[in-house]
Amino acid sequence: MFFSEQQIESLSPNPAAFNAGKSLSAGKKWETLCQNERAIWGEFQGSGKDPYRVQIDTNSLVYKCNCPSRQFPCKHTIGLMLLYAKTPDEFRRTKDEPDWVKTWFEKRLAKANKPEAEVERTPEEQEKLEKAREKTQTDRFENVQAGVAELDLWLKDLIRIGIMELPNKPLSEFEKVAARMVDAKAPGLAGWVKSLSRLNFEDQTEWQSEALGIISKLFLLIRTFQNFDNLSPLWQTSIKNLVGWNQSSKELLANPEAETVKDKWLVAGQIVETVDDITTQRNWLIGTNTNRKALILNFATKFSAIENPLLPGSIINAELAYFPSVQPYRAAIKMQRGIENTLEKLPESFSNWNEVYTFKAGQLQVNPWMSDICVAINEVRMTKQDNRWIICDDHQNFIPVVLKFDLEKVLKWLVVSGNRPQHAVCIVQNGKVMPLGVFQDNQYILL
Amino acid sequence: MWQKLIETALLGTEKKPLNPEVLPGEIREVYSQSHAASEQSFLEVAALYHFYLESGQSPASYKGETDNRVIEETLPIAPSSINDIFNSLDKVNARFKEKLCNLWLDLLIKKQYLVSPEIMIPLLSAGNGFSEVTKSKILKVIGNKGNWILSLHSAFQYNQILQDDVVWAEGNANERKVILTRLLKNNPDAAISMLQSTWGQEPLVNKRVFLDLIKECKTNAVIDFAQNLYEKEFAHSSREKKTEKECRRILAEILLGNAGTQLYQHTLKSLLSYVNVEKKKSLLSFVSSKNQSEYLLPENEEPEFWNAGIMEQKYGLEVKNYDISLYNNMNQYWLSFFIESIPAEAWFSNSFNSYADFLNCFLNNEKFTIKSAGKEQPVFLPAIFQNVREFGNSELAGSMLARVMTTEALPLLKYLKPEDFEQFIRKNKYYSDAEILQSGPYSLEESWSISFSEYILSNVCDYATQSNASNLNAIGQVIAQYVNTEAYQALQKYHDKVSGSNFFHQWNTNIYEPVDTVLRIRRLIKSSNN
Repeated sequence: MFFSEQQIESLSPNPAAFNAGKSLSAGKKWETLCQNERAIWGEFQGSGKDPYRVQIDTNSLVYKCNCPSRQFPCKHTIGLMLLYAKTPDEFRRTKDEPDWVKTWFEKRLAKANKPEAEVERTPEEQEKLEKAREKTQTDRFENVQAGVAELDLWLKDLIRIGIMELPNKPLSEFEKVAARMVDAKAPGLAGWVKSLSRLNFEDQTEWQSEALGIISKLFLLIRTFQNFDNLSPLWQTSIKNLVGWNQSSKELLANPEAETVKDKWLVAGQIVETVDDITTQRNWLIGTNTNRKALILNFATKFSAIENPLLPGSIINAELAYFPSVQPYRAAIKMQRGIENTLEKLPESFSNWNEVYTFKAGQLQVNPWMSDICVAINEVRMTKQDNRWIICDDHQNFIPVVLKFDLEKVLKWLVVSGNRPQHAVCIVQNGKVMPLGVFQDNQYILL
Repeated sequence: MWQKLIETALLGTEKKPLNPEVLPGEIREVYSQSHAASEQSFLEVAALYHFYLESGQSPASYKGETDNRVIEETLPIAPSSINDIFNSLDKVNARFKEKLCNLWLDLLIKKQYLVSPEIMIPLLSAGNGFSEVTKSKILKVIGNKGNWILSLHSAFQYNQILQDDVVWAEGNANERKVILTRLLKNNPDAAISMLQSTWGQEPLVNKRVFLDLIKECKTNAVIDFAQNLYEKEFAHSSREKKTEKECRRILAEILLGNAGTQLYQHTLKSLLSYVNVEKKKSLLSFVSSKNQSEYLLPENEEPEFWNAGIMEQKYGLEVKNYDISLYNNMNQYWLSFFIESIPAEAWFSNSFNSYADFLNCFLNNEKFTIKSAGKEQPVFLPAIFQNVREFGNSELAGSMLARVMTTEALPLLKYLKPEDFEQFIRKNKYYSDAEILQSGPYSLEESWSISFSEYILSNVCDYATQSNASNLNAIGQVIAQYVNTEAYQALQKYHDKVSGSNFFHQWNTNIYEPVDTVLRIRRLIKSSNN
């Protein structure tokens, strides 16, 4: 398994941690650098008496260090990864793992296999528990209904008075309404409200169309929720997800009915956002054999790191479980067998943007609220029109690149391509495109 | 239709109700069947229409010119072991990052490699803050693709190299100065050509500024240019302006600095006629070979050379006023100008017996002292310093060292020969003075000698393990910048020696880590070169 520096940087909690890790990757202070088919490990002599012990499971990218740092991964873990990326031959191959590595693997395996302890309850207790659960669910539903009704009124007021003044509305007004939705246990609706405040108000024509688009879709969602009882169970689940019911990965993975797909998944790209101290990591995956797409969301806070990090640009041999939906897209890793960096085959791709839009129309028929689509497309070029970067296909149709897209990534595309048409992976969102990476010589190059 | 909906949404259904006539068939039907209030009906219509709009979207057509040319490379990409060296530079202090980057770029250029695409953009970004010399090396290793990127986007400030003519023609005074300074350093002939192209139209004030700039450059192109101006445009005239005289002085300075010019030869002949080299008189003086030369500078004007007419007309010098705090008389002011402007070896090789003799003559003569801040100071000391700065004469600088205090010696150090500098440091035990260590005569590519590097490491190791050690960080940075690559083993030896000490941390953080990082990178570059 091979890490690139860019991939390791994507794992780091912040740039300072990455730089600190880099300074530790010189090699001098590392003792007992070893590797075998499932792990790499090393001991780092810090300023203390005993060296810090770092171990990394190379099949699932789980790591541990016994330093007191609260950052995950810590600088020692990052340093070990960087050192391995630079000079893997410095790591002695051995079958003998030290006890501290062996024990760690055993404990993790035991925890994974341990069935959840069943709490013994009397029939009365069980009935009471179920009634309590039902009440919680009913209360929640009623809360959301109230929130939806309030939002419905707010939208109607907005349309009655007019959205001309939207750019001049203070942020607090949107946040107040969003907070009401959160109070109503409908954080999904809060997200829609906040998106109205984040439009690009400098572009007069664009914000107006986008605002009405958001309002239209939100209203459709509200009306659909109000029609909840007439929906199929799968639609009910989908609408609840959109409104903000949590999807439990634990329950998903324990559900024998959940749809699972085994494949070698290309981690095509990753975007990390932090809002209100919660970090959301979006990972887009493409199944290289099944051509299925998946979105894996990871979360972290100040107090808890991302549990199952993914390396963008890597290929994971894994079984994914999809959350139930009318359009299964969001998934969780059920089992991971290994990480590679070489593609055996390239995923299927669209030939031009017209095909992508035709596909998108089909997806919208299934789910009118579908937003980001991950697509692989052939023979496209990055170029400029009216001082704006666009991606143009060989039919001379184009989609503009999202505003504020990192210029260095654009230039990296140009450098890698040398103006040759590329086979690329992109996210299409709201009529714009965000390139994630390009394929070259059976390698995937992350932008 | 969508635009109509937007118009209603902007003003509000209260002010601009939706006109159902604009709606397409099926949606109009839905609208007319709805008995809801107008805003609800509007929202229902908008929701439906938006869905159809989104589903029916198609991509826009590109109207621009298609550039189908493929950019190919003719040189190979460097192996990853060489590309990785660039990533290591991130750990290096900004002060000598450029130095190491240059070594790495030289390696790539020598091997005719290009950098990998992964590091091309970070390299261009890093190079934004580097000198023009380094930038021009970067341009050689980014290949056709890299140069194509530069043409597409102005994020990287490399394009100024290509626009000199334009800026020279249209830029402001500062911009033109910057261009001329840079060109004089990298391509003096082109600089003079550029200057000549507009010389006729330049105002006098600009000419004076430009002459000051070209003074630093001692190439033949500059000498020829200066000679021409000296003989023609700025030859003395009775009605000349003050600035014209100043220009003549600058031109005289330029010409006096070059042994091939007539002005130099005539002036030197005149000057040396006043040197009195004392003959050896006694047996002892033969044995000791110590001659005392004397400069018989007249105190007043005299017709052969030291007079206002010659000084003004030939050299553009002031003839009325001189700074009485610096000179005792006008002749001393004039002589100071000649000492500054003529290379010291011209005096030495034609009359004086040694630099020591030369310095004795001008620094030890009572007649050539002036009272300043209550003490007698040599009048010509500043001129000799300036001579060292102007001509970089390491022997003169070395001879000066013994005569000045340490604080005065600092500007001289960078003109010494490396072995003299190292001897100076050893003799005065300046191993813990970062400022002095920093002031040596080493260029971008040069390092201390191996023995000196080991000397510094040994003494700094002892120093760093004392409780009163100070400024260790600065010392570490200087060592990292100049230490010889072959001293790597010595560094490890001292590191092991300190490992059990209470002061390990301060040695490790301030000295060992920065030096070790840089040495590793340089050893990598060196081994890749072989």
